[in-house]
Amino acid sequence: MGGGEKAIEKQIALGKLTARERILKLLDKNSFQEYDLFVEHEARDFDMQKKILHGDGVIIGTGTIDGKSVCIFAQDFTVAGGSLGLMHSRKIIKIMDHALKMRVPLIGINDSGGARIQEGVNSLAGYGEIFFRNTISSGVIPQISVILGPCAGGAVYSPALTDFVFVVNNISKMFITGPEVIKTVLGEEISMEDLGGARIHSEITGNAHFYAESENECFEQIKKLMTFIPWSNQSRSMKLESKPPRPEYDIENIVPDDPRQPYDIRNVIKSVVDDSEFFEIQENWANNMVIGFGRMNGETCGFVCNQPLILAGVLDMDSSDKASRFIRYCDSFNIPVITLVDLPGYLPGVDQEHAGVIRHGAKMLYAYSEATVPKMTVILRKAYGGGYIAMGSRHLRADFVFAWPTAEIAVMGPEGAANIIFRKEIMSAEDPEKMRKEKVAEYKQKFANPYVAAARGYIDSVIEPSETRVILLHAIEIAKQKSISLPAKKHGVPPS
Amino acid sequence: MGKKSKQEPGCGKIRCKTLIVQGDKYRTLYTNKFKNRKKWQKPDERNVVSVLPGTVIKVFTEVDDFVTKGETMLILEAMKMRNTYYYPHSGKIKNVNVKTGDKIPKGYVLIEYE
Repeated sequence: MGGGEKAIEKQIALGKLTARERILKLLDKNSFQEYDLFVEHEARDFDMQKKILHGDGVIIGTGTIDGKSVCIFAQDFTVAGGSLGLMHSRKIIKIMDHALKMRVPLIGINDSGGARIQEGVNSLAGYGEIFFRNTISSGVIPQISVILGPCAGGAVYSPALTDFVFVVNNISKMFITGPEVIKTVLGEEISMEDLGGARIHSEITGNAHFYAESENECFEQIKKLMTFIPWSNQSRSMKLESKPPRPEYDIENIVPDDPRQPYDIRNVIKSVVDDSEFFEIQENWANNMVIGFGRMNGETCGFVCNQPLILAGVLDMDSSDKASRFIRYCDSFNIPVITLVDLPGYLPGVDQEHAGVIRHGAKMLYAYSEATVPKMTVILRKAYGGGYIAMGSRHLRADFVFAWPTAEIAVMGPEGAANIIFRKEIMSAEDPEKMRKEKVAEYKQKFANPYVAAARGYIDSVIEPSETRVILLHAIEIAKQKSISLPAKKHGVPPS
Repeated sequence: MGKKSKQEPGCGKIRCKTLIVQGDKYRTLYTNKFKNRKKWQKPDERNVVSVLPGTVIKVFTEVDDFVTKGETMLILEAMKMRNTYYYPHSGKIKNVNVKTGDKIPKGYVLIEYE
């Protein structure tokens, strides 16, 4: 019974489920097999030999989700605050090794006060071994972290190394140095929730990928994610029956005629994917970029799209990070990447430049270039300058690049470009404003269309919006057997 | 340039803002991070500012002193270490804003040159 009735009552009072309850809720009924239930700690310092800690504060085992095996561990906050000691970490390491050997996903439910101080360096050693395994398994098996309690100090690096992090409002807490330390050293007062609560990580830091209001909602999200992703890098994602998009998403009527007016790109995605089902990732962070999974003819595809509704869909530091990590995830697990482009460029600003937007932006170029999965791009409206290149262009070896007739592929927007190219004519004109307007219109007519790029073969064809789904399906089908190799190297040096 | 939109453009009932990118104006929504960004101001070179919060252990200067670049200015205890600050320029000191024992935050103006 974990840490005893009193401890369990405390857990329930905080609105949290117990470790065992969580595992049973997440996995298929009657599928959970527990291991190492009788593991005991060996610590003898600080009177530890007098303490009985059941299972040393963590539950490990295997089970199934949707009938397919997964490895799982859940830290038990009712036993010594879920703190990590030597045997606790050995149990986690055991199940991590199993997951890698058997090539099944690893799900970790984190709910721990941190290192068990009484066990000293042994706790640190435990964490180190866990982080190493997170790294080695990265890109081989899906690793999912569910933060259902405090996850502080060094412990928080394990979720950071995993593929997806799930947080729950008022329950998840993640930070490196907690409020007490911050108050002592820096004199800044902040609550745990404001420092590293669920909303902070899903809206500001970008550390969390999925946000839920309750643990039950979180488990539903995990199960949904598992229906999209492959079980390992050697298997394909589940193929479901193909369903057409729902009729309420009419691709012809989403994008406004005026190129300066915004729309929600998710409506376009939903008008293209099976059953209009789009599973968005990191919905509340850097939302000028939209990423997520959708199905095309029953098979999972990753979507990377600019969101004109937020900040005109510009690229900036956070959105570049968001997109590039997702592209690399899809590349690791053989998931085709579909890119929808509508952006006017990069976000201007001293704060962006000084914070290093250059090296963050470069991550996208790196991720697209390195990816060997099928890559398809559709340019919907604007694709100016560096943004055109970064968003899965032919030059980064996208397999198929299509454009709608409303696409504008140019070095710059008409206003900016005309001001530079025709500066002399505008300045020397009798009516500069009128001349400027004329030149802008001239530039627009000549360059703000997809045909200049099409003339060079930079885009494969100009397609009608209504044809988008059919053409993408055809492209995905033919690119399935794609086989290319990169020059031999240990690994590249991605921009940091 | 395509059919007239039946659906309302994304902003619809939400009030959109304007974002200017390379001379073109776009109607869109802002993110909180964008709204809260600090406008950049060129730092005043005459001010010496703390980079860490901490406690002042010792101050080696007084008002109206003439100092040389590279000499020791003050010692700040921060992050369990004694950090030595050196004069960034030679010149005359106008103000000394700290004394021994002061607990100062990050970004505090320690000393001002003329």
